[in-house]
This record gives sequence, structure tokens and C-alpha cells, in this order.
Amino acid sequence: MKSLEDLKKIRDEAARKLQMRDSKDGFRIVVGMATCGIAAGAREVLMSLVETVGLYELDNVSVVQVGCIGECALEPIVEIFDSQGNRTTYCKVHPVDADEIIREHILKNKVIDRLLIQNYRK
Amino acid sequence: MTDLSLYILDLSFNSIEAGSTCIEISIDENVYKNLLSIAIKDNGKGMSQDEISQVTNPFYTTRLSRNVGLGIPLFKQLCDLCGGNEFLITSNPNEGTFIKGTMNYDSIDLPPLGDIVKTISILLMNDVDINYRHTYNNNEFIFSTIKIKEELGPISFSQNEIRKWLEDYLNNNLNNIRR
Repeated sequence: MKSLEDLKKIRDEAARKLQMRDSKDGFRIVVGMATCGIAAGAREVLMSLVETVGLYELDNVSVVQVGCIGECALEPIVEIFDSQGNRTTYCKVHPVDADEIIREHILKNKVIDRLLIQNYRK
Repeated sequence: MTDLSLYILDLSFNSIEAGSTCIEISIDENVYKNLLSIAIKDNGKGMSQDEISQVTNPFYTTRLSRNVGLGIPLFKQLCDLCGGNEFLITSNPNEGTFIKGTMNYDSIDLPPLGDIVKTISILLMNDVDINYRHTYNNNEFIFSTIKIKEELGPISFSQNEIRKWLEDYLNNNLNNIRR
């Protein structure tokens, strides 16, 4: 059973890692978490992204929550900003897409066509 | 919304939008009384009486990105569907907002509680404090991030290891009160 005592040990380890962290040249992953997003499953998508970023031990990626992006029918929506501020918008994202988003978009800089919002807007 | 933890997440985002630094979430499950209640209290900017009278209207919202606001209307609808025991909002400008709903535990329309730990975990990535209280019949679990943050110092809950610890800690304690 995890206790408050365990937390102190984990905290020291986390502090060491935090010092090595370099957020320059990073990506910002933004997930829409308003009512529309939550009802469409954005919470699981967000958790999946956070967990995947943790698995790949990526220190240059932050996962951020925002409100409504204004395309409620296409939620869950995930937007990725690179260090130059270029924006890519993915829609109808499923939790299982998190791995592909990290592997292809973040690690290889390749846009995932099938999730692009441009392909869904009429 | 497929489960109660998603309603709680949605309502808590209202609190965050209102500039709250601390959110109190209470869940009371009483199988003997056949009641389940959810209450959320924040210290955000609050609402005027006029605003309170409008928030249950789905066509009222303060946001600019769209002109409907479904969070509170959906929660009210759920309370009405599940016995209509209680639905309450109290608020004053600059004093925060309190919202509470009580449902029948055996209502066929009551969704499952869902993953409340994920809801808390996500809320904590927003740099708010959470006071959480969950009762199941006579058992109670109380959790406050204020004390834990003192232990953590500059380390945030978004850090992978800390988040994992927190999720385990909450899951263990929540399982315990159901024993």
C-alpha cells in the first residue's frame, strides 16, 4: 500500500529529474476539456497522452488542458504546438491514438493525416 | 456523460474558470438511505443572483467560443432524472460557489461513479488545491492536497512519479472505504 512515507522517497527522485529538465525546443500538447470534450471522452485521451509522455520520458513536452475550442462536434480535440508556434489540430482523437501522436508527431515530426481536422470539416 | 466522475470534472472546471484556488469535492454514498450526493464548493469569483437564475438554462454561457453552456444543465437533468431529491446552487460575488445534487442510489438512470481518481489527477494538473471527502455508508476518506504540497515543495503533481503515487494512494484509500 502506498503511503505518505513513500511519497518522500519519490519526491527526492523527482526533484533530481526536474533539475535535468530542459524545456527548450519543446512541444505543447493542448487538449480541449470543456463539457463537449469531456462528454466525448477527452479525459481518457488526456490521461493517455500524459501517460505516454511519461513512458517515453519526454522532458520537452507539456500536456495542457484548455476549454472549448469551438468545434464541439469534432471532440476530443488535441492541438500540438511546436517550438515555433506552428499549430496542428487533430480531432475525434481516441485514447489509443496517443502513442501514434507521440511516436509520429512528437518524435518524428510527421503529421498524422487521418486525424487532421481539415479532413473532417465540411 | 457516461459516469459521475465526468460530471464532477466538468463542474470543477467551472470552478477553475472562475479563478478558484481551492475546490472542495464531497461525495456521499449511503446505500441504507438510498442516496448519493455530490457537492462542489469553490473560492472563485462567484455569481450574482441574476447569474445563478440563468446557469441552469442551456442557452446561457459566459464563454465566447460557443453560445450554449451545458455543464450545469446536464447535472441538473441528472438529479431530476434520479429521484429529484435535491439540486442546489448558492453563490455570492467574490465568495465562491456551492453546487450540490442528490440522487437516488438505486435509480436506473444513475450512472456509475466512474474513475474519480483520474478526475482528481487531471484537476491537480491545473495547480489548484483540492479538499476531497468521500463517504461510503459509515466509512470516510478525507484527502487534502494542501498538506501534500508542503511535502512536495517545488515538485508538481504533473510529474509522472508523483502522479502515479497519488493515483495509487487514492485508489487504495477509496477501495478501503468500500470494504
